[in-house]
Amino acid sequence: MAAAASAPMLRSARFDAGRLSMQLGNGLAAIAEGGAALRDFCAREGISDAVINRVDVVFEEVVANIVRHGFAPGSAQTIAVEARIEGDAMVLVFDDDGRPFDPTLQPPPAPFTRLADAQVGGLGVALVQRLARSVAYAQPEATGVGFLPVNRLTVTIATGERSPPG
Amino acid sequence: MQVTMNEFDGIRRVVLDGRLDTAGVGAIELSFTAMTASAGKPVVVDLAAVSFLASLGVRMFIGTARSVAAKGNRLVFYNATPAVMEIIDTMGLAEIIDIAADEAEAMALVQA
Repeated sequence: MAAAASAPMLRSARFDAGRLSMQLGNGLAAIAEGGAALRDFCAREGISDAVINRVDVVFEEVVANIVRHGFAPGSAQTIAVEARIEGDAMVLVFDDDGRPFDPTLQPPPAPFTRLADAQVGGLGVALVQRLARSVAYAQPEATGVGFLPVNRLTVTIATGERSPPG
Repeated sequence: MQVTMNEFDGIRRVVLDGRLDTAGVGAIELSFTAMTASAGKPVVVDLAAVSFLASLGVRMFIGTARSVAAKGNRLVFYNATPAVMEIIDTMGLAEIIDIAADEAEAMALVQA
């Protein structure tokens, strides 16, 4: 019996001038598929390789965290990501309908001083905060039908100089 | 993501190739740990072909460095790309793990 093909985790992606909007499913493949679309968007917008890497890492950390910490039964299990250029920054907005969770409230891990004592929990959130210009959490008001986000994380990353968009 | 190894002069050289993202770490963590922690000798890890590093990869590096150190050996990473070095520097990883610029420096460090 042939195995059923896995549904793509990147459910939709829309590119407009200076903006990418994606809807991802709840699965680790969402990181790979969404990340590839985001890198492509950044390259088209003339963003430098160094900044693309920062955006890529932030995306990986945030989406992996959402997928790992679980969605409540009955939710749409959706992650909506918007990336847009605002002046000298890339603004990433992650909406999900998982369990309420504010990653900005996590205390940062202690700085590394000794290998034996190094804390390995919370590194992802700490990395996002260090790479970003700002990180903000909110719980959007639930309106309308369909996908109702519970958590909204907005991460702003400085882009510096950009090449003319291709 | 792939991991390979060879040995010379009593040193194990492990080569990582690909993205150390969630999927990449998941694919090679067991093999990488086996190749490094069980080596019973100094280990150098070539990062030249690693195009991406995030917190899961950092956690893997710390875990294997601890395992190698517990057996009285040294683990040195080298040849990190600028993208990978930015994450190493941002996390302050070089404070607790040996990071060398190139193979020559790694070989000198691991035998020091």
